[in-house]
Amino acid sequence: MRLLFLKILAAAGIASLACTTKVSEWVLLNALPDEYTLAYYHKEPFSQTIKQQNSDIINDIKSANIQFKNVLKTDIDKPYYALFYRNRLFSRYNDHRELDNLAVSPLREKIARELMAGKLCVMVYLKTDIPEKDDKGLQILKRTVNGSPFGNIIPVIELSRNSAEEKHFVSMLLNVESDLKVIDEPMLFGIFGRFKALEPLLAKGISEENINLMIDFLTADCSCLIKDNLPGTDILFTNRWENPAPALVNKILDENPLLLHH
Amino acid sequence: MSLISQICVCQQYDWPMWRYDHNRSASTPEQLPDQLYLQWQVTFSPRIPVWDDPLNQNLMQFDRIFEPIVAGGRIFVGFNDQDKVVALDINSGKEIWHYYADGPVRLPLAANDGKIYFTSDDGYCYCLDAGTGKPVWKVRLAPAENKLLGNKRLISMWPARGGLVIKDDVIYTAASIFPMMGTFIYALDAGTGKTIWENEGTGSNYILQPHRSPAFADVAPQGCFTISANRLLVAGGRSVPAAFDTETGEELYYQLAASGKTGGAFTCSNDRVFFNHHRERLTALYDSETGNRLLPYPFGYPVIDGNTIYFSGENITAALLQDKKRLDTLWTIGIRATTDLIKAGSILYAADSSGITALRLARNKKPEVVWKHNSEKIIDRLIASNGKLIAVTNDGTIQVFGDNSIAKPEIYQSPKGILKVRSKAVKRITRATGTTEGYALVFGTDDVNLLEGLVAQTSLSIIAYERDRDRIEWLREYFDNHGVKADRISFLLFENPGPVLPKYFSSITLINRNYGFDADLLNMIFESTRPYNGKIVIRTRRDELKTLIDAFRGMKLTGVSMTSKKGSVIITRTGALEGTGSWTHNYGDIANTVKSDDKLVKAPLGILWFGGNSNLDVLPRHGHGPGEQVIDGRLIIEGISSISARDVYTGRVLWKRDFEKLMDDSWLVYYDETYDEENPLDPKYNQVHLPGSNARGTNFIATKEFVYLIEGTRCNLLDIRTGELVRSFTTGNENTEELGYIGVYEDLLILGNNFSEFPGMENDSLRLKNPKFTDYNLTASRELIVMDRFTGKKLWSITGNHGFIHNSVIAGDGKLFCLDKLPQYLETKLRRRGESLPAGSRLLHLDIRTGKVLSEVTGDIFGTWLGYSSEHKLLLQATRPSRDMLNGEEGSRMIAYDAVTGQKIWDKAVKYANPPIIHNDRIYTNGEGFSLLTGDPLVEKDPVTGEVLKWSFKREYGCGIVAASEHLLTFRSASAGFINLETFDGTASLGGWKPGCSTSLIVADGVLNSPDYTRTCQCPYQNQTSLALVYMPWMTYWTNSNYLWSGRRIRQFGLNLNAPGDRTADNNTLWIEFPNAGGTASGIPVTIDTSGYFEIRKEPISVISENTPWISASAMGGLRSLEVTLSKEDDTTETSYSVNLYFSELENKQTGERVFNVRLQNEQVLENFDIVSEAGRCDKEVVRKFAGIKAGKTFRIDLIPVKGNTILSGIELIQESVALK
Repeated sequence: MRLLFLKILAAAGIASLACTTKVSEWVLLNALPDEYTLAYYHKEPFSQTIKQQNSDIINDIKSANIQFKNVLKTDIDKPYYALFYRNRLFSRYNDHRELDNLAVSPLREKIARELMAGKLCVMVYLKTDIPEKDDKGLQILKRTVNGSPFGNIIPVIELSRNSAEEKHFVSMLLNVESDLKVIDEPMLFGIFGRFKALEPLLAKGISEENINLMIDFLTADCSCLIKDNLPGTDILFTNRWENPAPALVNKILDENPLLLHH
Repeated sequence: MSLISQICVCQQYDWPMWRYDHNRSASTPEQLPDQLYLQWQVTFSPRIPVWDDPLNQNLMQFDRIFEPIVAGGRIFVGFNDQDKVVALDINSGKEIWHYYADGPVRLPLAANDGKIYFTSDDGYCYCLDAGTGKPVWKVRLAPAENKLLGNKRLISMWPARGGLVIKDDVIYTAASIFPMMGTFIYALDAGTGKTIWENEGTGSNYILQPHRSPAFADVAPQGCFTISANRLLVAGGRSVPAAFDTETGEELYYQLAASGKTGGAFTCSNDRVFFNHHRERLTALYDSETGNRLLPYPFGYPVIDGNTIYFSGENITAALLQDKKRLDTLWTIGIRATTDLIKAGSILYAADSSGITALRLARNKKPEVVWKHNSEKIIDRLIASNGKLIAVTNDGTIQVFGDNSIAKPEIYQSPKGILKVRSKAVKRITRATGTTEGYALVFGTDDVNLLEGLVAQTSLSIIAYERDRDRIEWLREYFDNHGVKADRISFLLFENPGPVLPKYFSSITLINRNYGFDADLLNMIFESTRPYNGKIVIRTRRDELKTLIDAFRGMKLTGVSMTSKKGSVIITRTGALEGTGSWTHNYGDIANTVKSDDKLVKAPLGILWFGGNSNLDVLPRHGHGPGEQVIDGRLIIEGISSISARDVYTGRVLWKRDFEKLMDDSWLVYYDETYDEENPLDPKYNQVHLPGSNARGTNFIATKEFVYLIEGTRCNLLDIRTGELVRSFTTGNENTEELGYIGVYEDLLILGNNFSEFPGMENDSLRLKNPKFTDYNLTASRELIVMDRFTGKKLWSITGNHGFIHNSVIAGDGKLFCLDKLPQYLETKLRRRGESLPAGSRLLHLDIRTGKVLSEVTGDIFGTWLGYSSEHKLLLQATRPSRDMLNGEEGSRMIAYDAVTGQKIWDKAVKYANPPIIHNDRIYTNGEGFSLLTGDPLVEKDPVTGEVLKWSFKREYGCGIVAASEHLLTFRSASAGFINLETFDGTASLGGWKPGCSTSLIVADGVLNSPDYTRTCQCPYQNQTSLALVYMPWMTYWTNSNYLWSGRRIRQFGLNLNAPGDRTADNNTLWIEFPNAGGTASGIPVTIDTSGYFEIRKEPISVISENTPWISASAMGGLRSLEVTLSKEDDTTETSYSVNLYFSELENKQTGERVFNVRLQNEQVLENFDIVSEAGRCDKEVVRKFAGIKAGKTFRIDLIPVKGNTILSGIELIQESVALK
């Protein structure tokens, strides 16, 4: 009798028990940023100039996490633009030129490169430009990051809240919480994932303990709970999130299992 | 296709099954006369569909109207309320015969070769002679005679709702609508009823459910089956159909998860594609080959004429199905076909609310109207057959149109008799027992007056058993003729050894005759009696009475009282079932243990009842309203403007009360503007997630006497027996604007007076996706007031410095504990900003009777949660992290205090989710466990190697929290899921329905309660219904153990061949399925050599085994050898194992047809082994045990065929003298 042999080999160790992807990595790979809305409010029919102007704007932001829409509103004096995020008004612009570089700026480009390079996050230190206020927090930040086992994968970037070049970025950061604009204190934003900004530490809150808590959050296993209630505000940026480098946090944790926490 | 013999100008055809043929094409070649006239009509009563809610009723329309078929000049129709099939003469309308089944006939009939076929909820497939109505054969599709309450009727545990389809003299049908109970799909010979093939075990497949999360739950057959070429499309109730090979019964596909929010019982096809229900009367187009959707939903229920498709709807559209399965529109005409459309010859008949329109089809041009019939009735179904057009209306009327112009058509009306009989016996019984509602069992039907009185003088649903078959027929006729529906009284044959009844359902059982009841049956009758005062009334002759009383006494029943009166004896099942517990407050009790003390509910579980109440009485799912509360056999559940009580043992609605202000109270708390009540069929996202009671807590408490319900500024007391408003309490404070917290401890009622407001924090919602998740002003009460819960007398009150967090207000051992502090997120925010927390945060221990502060802890105040263990006098401080909870409620710390001394026992930084469950000396969270006494993580032994492991479990997708009972953790995990706390089992599925998105899987009163808390859910889970489960030791369950082998020496291990999943046996052997099918692979290398390989699986209930049918119900055939790696360690030495081999003949081979030798580690241990010879029959387990088998790194078994092929079900290895316990 001819025997037909079939071999089945059960592969060993195929899957792991729980989600061991770290929060920072999971968010970068999976969490699509929420969209902004840029609305053009007008009460008159569009002129050719306005059409072209809006067309240019749309072209500038077309690859960012933003949608553009025209809104006919009869009770306004003159047309204007307004930027919304999650149905909240972030900024209003009376002149289209104010919208230049809305979705892109040098610092945002740099931060995005760091995130795509597999860094855990980028710590953006938003300065008041008053040294007495800024220096202490900055020192604590640098000391803490340098002392962290993850320090090498946490770039620190300083940003003046008065930066003209980064005015849109600053504005978005100051909209992460409703009262930040009126708080004249240095602030520390953890930026992770696809440009998501955590609620800032500010003033005395920029402490070693709080910075390490932020790092803990980003290096923890990504639980369903975190996925469901993902904190942070998405910053407007041109989408370039395909094929990021492997998350560097995994190498550090592989080499230092004692750092693992869930 | 059946041809009919009647002589006519045109050729006449039968309409032998629903929508004409096995394609359900709704297209017959028969050409009807051009002009049609009403010949006769008969009106029965409107049908009441089996399911309760609008969405279910739209997705499963099989019994919403009469669905006649036509054969041989007769119309045949089934009745879902009178459990019968009726044959009517198509020419005169006169009834020719009728036949009563033993359960509701809900699915359309079929005819073939002079016979009529149908299925019933009684679990059987019937074949009748079409001419006489006499039974030809009757085949049980269900695996056993067990009954349960399903949709308010006593039916088979496996109701046959596989709407049978016939092709080439083969019937295809099925039983069981819950995969966890096993599903049984058949091909039967239409002539004899003999099984051609049977597919069992598919129901347990581990497949992706909606939300792409897995569970052991495949298709649940419900609805009319369809055949597309060689694919049997098994209607999946609420989902897309599954496809099976018509020749072999092998499942080909079931695209449950991939289908999204669509699906339903309606399917029609040609040989290449099929259309399946979406919503209303819309369908989507699918590829029959793959089940992949080709086109979404613009298509009204179609007529299929080969590749020409006619779509119904506001317009009729004709389209051509092209070679590449695309549809090209041919024409559209503005004729409404909104209720039905069929094709007969060259005529399309379209029905809508105005009547019927006939359209003649013509080549290359649009059709023209040739006939029209206006109707005041809504015509929902059309049939063209035997020279007649038949119309079925939604009021239960069947109209027949023919070519004779009749001046006065016959109009028949079904009997509408009313029983006005009064029975003194019934009066005496109801007076003595006080029972007038619920379910009643009757044994012995001699006294018709008694039966009539039970119908007329009570609202009982009566099931009467009678030993005389002829008498049953007579009684069915009698009550049918009096217009009494079978849901009021039905008659079933008593056959020895007696019926297999569900537990706990009968409010009153009348034993009028002793049918030779033995102890087992009397015990079953007692077990079927409802706890909390269910009655057994023995009314037999005196000699029989003594025998029965003695027998009952001999059973030494507990929880029983016995009284006698005027020759009758009443046995009362008093109080609760022994070992059960209740579930009050939002978390089980006022101590927030999140645990029921119920010891009765454990694995395995089977369904006690399903259906019978509506989710319209329940809050929308994602608002996370208060969970149900269960006490004294009543389940209390809240709706948008109502609260209602249900019988936990039957699902029967006991009462429902509406409260005007409740709707206002719940607005923006338990539901919001995203809730769309008006469009229950719209698959859009309905009701966003809200924290609901997760943050606010419950607004009602169920107690033995009252339901305490907050309504505005009042606390209403409803009599828990009747729902009547007894009184209302107020705080007596003029400043009361709202009541927040509510809790009951012994005779005390604790109310929160006004919600605490946290000014300056409200606007901080910018960062959040959903601002609802920051409304902290609903989570704490400004003041706590303690009052006498019976009089409303205020005893004391205390005002908070910040607010008493509702989830932290608990009580135990005479103390009230609470946290007076800011919500968690606000504290986090202050910390982030380097600001100090405001003073005044505290943990209070108060004398609950006086309000005296016994202890005030001001250090280490964190979190929002307190739980209390009275057993260990420990107070647990924590947070309440879960899905859909306020931001900031991360679980990162727990503190345990000695509640007597106030001393801190332990303080741990631990990550967790779920409100911490206090389970005796343990704490369980979502996936993890800790010692309550030390805070250390729980550990357990690796069941295979004996190594020490951290205790954990994995849960698949699901909202709602984990809840506990003595033996189980219950939660949603794709479908329902549980963890067996008794053993290393893994995550078990209870597949086949969607448990609530809000917490709803609650063990109490001896049952696992699963009220339908899924209102607004559109996901195509197999069933959307309330149900209850009880311990059924013979039932099966499967787990995903998530076991991962470390590579250390295997000490105890079972390989369950071709099983759907894992499971642990009573001896603690973890049986892992091979090949891997149900979740995570164990990583234990297994190598096999085969010849003539096959896999086979049955439902365990089909296999005879004392303890382990779940091992022997599946097997791998054609095995030549199998090798298991026992160790990856280099220094592995040989050791001795006991090896147990499990066999069962599952292929129906006879003695001598399958003989083989077995070698273990190259030593022959079985020679000429013949399973059937050893077992004495097929489907019976044989276990062979071998001791002292030496093995080192590997273990090998060889099976050498002598005759036929080999078959093996399971291999168990236990290292001798070190078996793990």
